[in-house]
Amino acid sequence: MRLLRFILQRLFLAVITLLTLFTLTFFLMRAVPGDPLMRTKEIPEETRRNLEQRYGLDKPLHQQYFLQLSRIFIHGDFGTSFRTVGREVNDIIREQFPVSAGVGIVSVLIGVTTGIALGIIAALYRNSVIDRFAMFLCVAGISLPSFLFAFIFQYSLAVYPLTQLGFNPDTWLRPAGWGEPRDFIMPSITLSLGIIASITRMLKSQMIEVGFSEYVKTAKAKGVSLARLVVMHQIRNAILPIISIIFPILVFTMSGSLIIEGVFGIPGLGRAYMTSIQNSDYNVIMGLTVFFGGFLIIMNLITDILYGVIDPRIRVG
Amino acid sequence: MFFSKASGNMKSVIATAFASATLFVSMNAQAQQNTQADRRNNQEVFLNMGDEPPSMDPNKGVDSVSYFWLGHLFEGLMTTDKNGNIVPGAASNVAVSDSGKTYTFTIRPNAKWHDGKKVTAKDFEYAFQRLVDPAFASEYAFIAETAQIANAAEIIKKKKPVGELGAKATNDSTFVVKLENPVAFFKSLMAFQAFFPVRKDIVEKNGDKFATNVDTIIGNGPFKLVSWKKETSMRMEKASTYWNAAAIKLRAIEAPVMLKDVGAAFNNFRTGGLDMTGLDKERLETAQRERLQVKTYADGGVFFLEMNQRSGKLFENKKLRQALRTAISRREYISKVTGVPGDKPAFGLVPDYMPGVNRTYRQEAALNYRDGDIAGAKKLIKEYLAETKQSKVPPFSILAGDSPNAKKESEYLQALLKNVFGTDVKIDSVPFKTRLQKQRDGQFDIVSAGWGPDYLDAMTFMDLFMTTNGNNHGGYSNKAFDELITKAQRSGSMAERVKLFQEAEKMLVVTDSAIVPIIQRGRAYLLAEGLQGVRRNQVGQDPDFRFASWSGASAKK
Repeated sequence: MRLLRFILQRLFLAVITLLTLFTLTFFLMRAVPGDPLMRTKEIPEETRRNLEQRYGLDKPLHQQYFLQLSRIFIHGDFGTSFRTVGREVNDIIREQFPVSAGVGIVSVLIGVTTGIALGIIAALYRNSVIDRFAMFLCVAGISLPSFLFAFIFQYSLAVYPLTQLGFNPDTWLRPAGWGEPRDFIMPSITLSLGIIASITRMLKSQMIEVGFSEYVKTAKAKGVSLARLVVMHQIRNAILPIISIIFPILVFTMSGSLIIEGVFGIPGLGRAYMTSIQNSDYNVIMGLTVFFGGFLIIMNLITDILYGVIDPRIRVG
Repeated sequence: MFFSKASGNMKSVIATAFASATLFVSMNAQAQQNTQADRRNNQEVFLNMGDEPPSMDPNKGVDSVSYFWLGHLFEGLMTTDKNGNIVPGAASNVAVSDSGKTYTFTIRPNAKWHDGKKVTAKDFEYAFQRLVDPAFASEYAFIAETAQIANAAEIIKKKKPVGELGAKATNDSTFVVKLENPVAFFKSLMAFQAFFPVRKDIVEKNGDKFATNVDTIIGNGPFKLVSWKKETSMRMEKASTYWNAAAIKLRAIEAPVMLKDVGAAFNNFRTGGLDMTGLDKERLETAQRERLQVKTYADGGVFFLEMNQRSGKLFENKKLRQALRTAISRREYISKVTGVPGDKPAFGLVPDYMPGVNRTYRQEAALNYRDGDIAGAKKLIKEYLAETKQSKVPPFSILAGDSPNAKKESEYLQALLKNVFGTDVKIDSVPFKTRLQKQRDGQFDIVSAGWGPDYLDAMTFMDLFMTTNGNNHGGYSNKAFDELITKAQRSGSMAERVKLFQEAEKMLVVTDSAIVPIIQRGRAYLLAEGLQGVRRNQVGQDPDFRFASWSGASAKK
């Protein structure tokens, strides 16, 4: 079984990668000035010593390293936050990752469908109004920061309708908040803009490229109808490279955006990551880094296997 | 197995993610958002505290978000009334011995926990011991030393067992606290959250999970916690068990969102999703244009420049420090740099709201000097140059944070000091924790620092600059100053203390110019029309909603 060997090989490499990631993170965190017990107000010396003892920060560095290593890689326990009393990192991941991932999946769904539609139309009707709009969106979506869009949407989709048009706050969107299905809408649209931009641009250029290929010319010459030509020949071949970038986009989007989660008050992992870094919260930083690392590796492996399914030319087994 | 626990999580994590995605697709409109009109009628308040409370354990919380919740959920032996006066809380009576060193509290017979159990003196004894227990390692343990509770300092240093703390329950309703020295503000300390009662049975049952969820947070205060969705929302409702429930008009206080972003919270306020929210300078104009109710308050913080006066450093020289103090115009600084309504100039270290004997400390111990005096500053610098036989002041740098506001502040100072000192001034703009590390290590010439009060007495500011204080980053050391503060620490007479502080403050700020106070920080916020009785505090829970209510509650707007 070549496929099985391939997977085992990759899993072995994954362990090595994660160990390297762990080691680098461990020492880099400690090289950065400041530690979890450093506050605006200095903690009195005796209390600081008591706290270091409680959290095991008084132990020699190599001991801390191996303790954390075994705790994470043998027991699967990421430890407790230094900042939020009693909050376990495993709980943070369990509760907050699904939120980021949910928003991410919805954004990718919106982004990919809209992007494909816009890309096809833009390629078929070059220099039309839709093409120009799509190209404008591509440039804006890639070059403008997402918090700008977030505030534009907050104002135009929530503040303006609610305060100026008298929309009912019971049923209409609120500017920021989390807990109801409608709270997905604005963040997902905001996050999808970047995705729309990259997919539209890529698909448009692929469509045009395929349009010049020999087999399309041949199909045209033998009198295939336009609809059949576009759908069966052009789109089918132009979309293959798109599939190859969807997975990386999905993985990236699911890991949470700290800006979008901040602006819309979404309790996701991006936000947790940001807070942990600001507070030098060693356990949370480490937990989330290793988790993201593992997630990325697994998703990459799945992608590689799926490529083989879609495109027989690169199949392994 | 590698990743055994985590990979199990992963499955459920992905499943939930897809479930929440489907939830979106099957969008339903059965929303129950509470409109402002509903809240008005129900006496409910929605507000944004900006963040998840880092610790809901009274013995552990050290941040303002946690205080806010704890101050509504719990009550100490003493508390504050609607005007901010210190009055008996969970204790109905307090007797002070003639020496001023023994306080005997009588617990209210009708003081109850939210689960109906009676509040006893043992609950306080347990909480006080827990606070100083080195194994528990509370960051606020030092407050027991400040209160001078007998043996607290030795217990924290592990020199005595916890059981020897001078705070004992002699029976269920009598709690006796013995002090090393009389402490003039002891009663106000007893209203502070570090001294709130804690239930031993709940702590022991829950261990590390104590105070991490609704079930393990059972208080004795006017409100009880009914919901806590991590990083999302929190809600507390009026507690019928509270002894003074008749005085509480609000039925519920809720944080429906935890928005760190001021702009997003502002948008929620404008659309009626919040009844109170903080304002920054950018939103202030919009708020005024939209005729929203803008209010200001002093948040308690005092900001000052600290100069590194360790030997070998440039600002070891007193004349240069005095020149810096003389040169800065506080009014100009406020109008050009901070621009927040409510900011006030600070000439001394002790802010205006600190109590004195009868009036405020500042009214009883005025401290004034001429500022914004560039010519005067240049004269001092000339003298320095003559004394040290130099032709030019050596270049120096300002250590500052990397936020846009911090940058604006340091750029203003840079321009001013370049002119006054006639030398090159650099800005060392670094991330938050790097700044703290450099401050601690004494790697700076000038740093812009600030301090917020831990309790309502001038001491919380004045003891910062004692030689041994860990927060004395500039390395100021003056025996006479240390002696004055030590004397004040041992004195039970407020009149004597005001005199001691006045002398020490003059030494610190004027004569030695060890620090240059600049502003007493103000903040602007928005409050919904009709919401009254909201108190802003510099110490303890802020905002204080215990005595707030909606006026004209029945009239729908």
